[in-house]
Amino acid sequence: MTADERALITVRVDTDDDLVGARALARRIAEHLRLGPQDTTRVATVVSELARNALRYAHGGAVTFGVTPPSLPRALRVTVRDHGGGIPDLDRVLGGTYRSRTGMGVGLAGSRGLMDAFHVDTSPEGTTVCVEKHLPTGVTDADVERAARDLLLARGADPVRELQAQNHELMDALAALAEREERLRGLNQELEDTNRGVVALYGELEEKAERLREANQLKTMFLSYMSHEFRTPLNSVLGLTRMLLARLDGELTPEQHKQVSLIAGAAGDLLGMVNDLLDVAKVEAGKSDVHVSTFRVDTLFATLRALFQPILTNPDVRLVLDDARDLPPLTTDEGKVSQVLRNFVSNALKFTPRGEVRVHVALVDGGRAVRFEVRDTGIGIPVEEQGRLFQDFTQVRSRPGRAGGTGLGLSLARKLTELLGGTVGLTSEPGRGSVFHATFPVTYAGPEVQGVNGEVPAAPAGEGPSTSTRPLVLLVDDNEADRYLLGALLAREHFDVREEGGGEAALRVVRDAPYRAVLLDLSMPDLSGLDVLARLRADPATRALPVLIVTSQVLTDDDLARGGALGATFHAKDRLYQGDTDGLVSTLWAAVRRAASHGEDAAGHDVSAE
Amino acid sequence: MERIPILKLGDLLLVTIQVDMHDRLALTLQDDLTTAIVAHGARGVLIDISALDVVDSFIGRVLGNIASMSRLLSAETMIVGMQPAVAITLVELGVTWRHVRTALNVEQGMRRLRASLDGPRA
Repeated sequence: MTADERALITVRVDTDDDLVGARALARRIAEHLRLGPQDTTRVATVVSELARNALRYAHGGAVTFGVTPPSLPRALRVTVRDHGGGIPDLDRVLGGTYRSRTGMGVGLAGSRGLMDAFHVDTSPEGTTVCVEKHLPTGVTDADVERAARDLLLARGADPVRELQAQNHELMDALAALAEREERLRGLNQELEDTNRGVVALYGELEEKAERLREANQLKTMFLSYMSHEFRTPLNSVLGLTRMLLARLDGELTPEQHKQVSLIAGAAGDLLGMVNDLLDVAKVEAGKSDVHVSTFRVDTLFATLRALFQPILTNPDVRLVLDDARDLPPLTTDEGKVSQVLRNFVSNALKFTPRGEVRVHVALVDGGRAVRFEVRDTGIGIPVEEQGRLFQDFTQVRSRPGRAGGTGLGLSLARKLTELLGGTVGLTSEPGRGSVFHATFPVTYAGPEVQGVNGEVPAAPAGEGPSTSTRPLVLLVDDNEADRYLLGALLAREHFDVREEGGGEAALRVVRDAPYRAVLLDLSMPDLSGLDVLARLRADPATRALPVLIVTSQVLTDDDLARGGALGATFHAKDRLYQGDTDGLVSTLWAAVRRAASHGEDAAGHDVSAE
Repeated sequence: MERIPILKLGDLLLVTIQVDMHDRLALTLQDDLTTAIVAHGARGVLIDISALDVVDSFIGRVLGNIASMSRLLSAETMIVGMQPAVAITLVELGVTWRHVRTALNVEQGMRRLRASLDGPRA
């Protein structure tokens, strides 16, 4: 074993399979080096013996194949090294007198006889056995190199070993796969659990959302009912104060006049707030109808100017409305546009101590939309407050002094504008003033475009019969204040009025006198207005009697359809109490006249202009 | 686990070793064969080692043991087809077999086994 030995290959022997491999390798190398069948078998057998010893007694070792240098007689040299405890009785073993515990022992001694050179070096640190087999003459360096090359190429190419190795790999891969599958299954399970959790959470969320929706609806209903309930007594207060101020009940002292005016003012403010609330509730509940008509902006401005003139008490502030005569007429809900502008203007006036509030109007978007701007020189609004301003119940906190109202005005303005397909916005700078703007489509593109206003019968201005021919009407309302106010109103309009406090009572008396029309409240404790109406229509004697439903209730589509089908017209109490009686009076007169022309004693009740 | 197949031919067992046996496989064969002798009541065992290039002391010892065990189980063992180089090496190695009969090939071995089994009865 010298340094210039031509090493061919070294293999480890740690298992039985390695032992078989080393044996096969020895055979292959011997064949390459043309050792002949007998020597090949000898070499293979010796390698088998030595490798087995290393495996059995030292738990493994290494087998090195090499060729001795050319200077010596050339030989195949096999070196087997292990790091076991050495061979204790080497001499006896080699002498052939030793028998191992396993009954073996011929291996080492036998091997010696099979080889040309045999050398054992053993110590407690390990054993090295080196054996040599002479190569036949004629084996050249080229043969050795070819053997080395072939070994390099064929390393691991032994089909059986290869198959076993592949088998092992396959088993490992299968085991890894099984493990991965197990992990995947675990992961899948986890995912499924998570998924179930998510589904459960989703359900919970859905439930919460549902509850929120219900709560919101309840809120809207509450607002609607509450404002309605508030409006009834408020309207009574307003009506009564108006009667007092009109001296219908006698003269007032200047002090009383002032006090009653204050009451009327406060009630008016309160009614405004309640109306705002109700409007918000209506828009939110989707119950706000759009009444489309075609109107001129300058007319709208004239109304606004008239409306605000009385409340312009601050001499330092001017209200300027642009000239809008050149603008084309708008086809949308005049009432709502007006409400938005009123809102902006009254807001601007409230927060402008001096200077002017200017209402500017212009066509935008190629004439398809109209943009109103209400520009003031007031205190302005900080940027951080601007975003929230159009939300419910929002008031600018930094504004000094009182900020009257519910905080619903701008929110309502936004909702109404959006209802008409428009947008609102504002630009403002603290100390420099604000510009609120609302843009509406020139023509409302909503679902129901119809000219409602055109159907209202022309008001019989100044019309009224003499006392002797006053038509008799029956007024049915459970609220005494309402009966009083409506009665006074009808009396002023030249009607004879008989009052009843309930539906049943009204039905009992309706045939006692030649009534020309019936005014019905909707909600009454004993019988609702619609029920009374139905019973009137069911009776041939009262079937043709004109019925006007006068109510402060928010009407549902259902109410309107039912009443309309039975030939009734609807009139809002609050509008009557605000002095807007034209609709009721003209409808009443038209009904009375129509009934008279159809009735048997038409001539006696005919009405003519005074 | 790898095993060497044992074929039953009447009351004979035929084992053809076609792979280079590792030690454990040899011991397994020893166990399997003795079990099979008892199970089938075999009276003869034919072991064909013509495919073995190397029979070292361990395998030689195992084959000898198989023969001894079979004999105890009243079966004759015939090892056939040993390559000449293997035979020479076994002798040089100092492995000696007792109770083992040999033949050059399966056919000859079969004939001889049959003869010795049937002989006394005939």
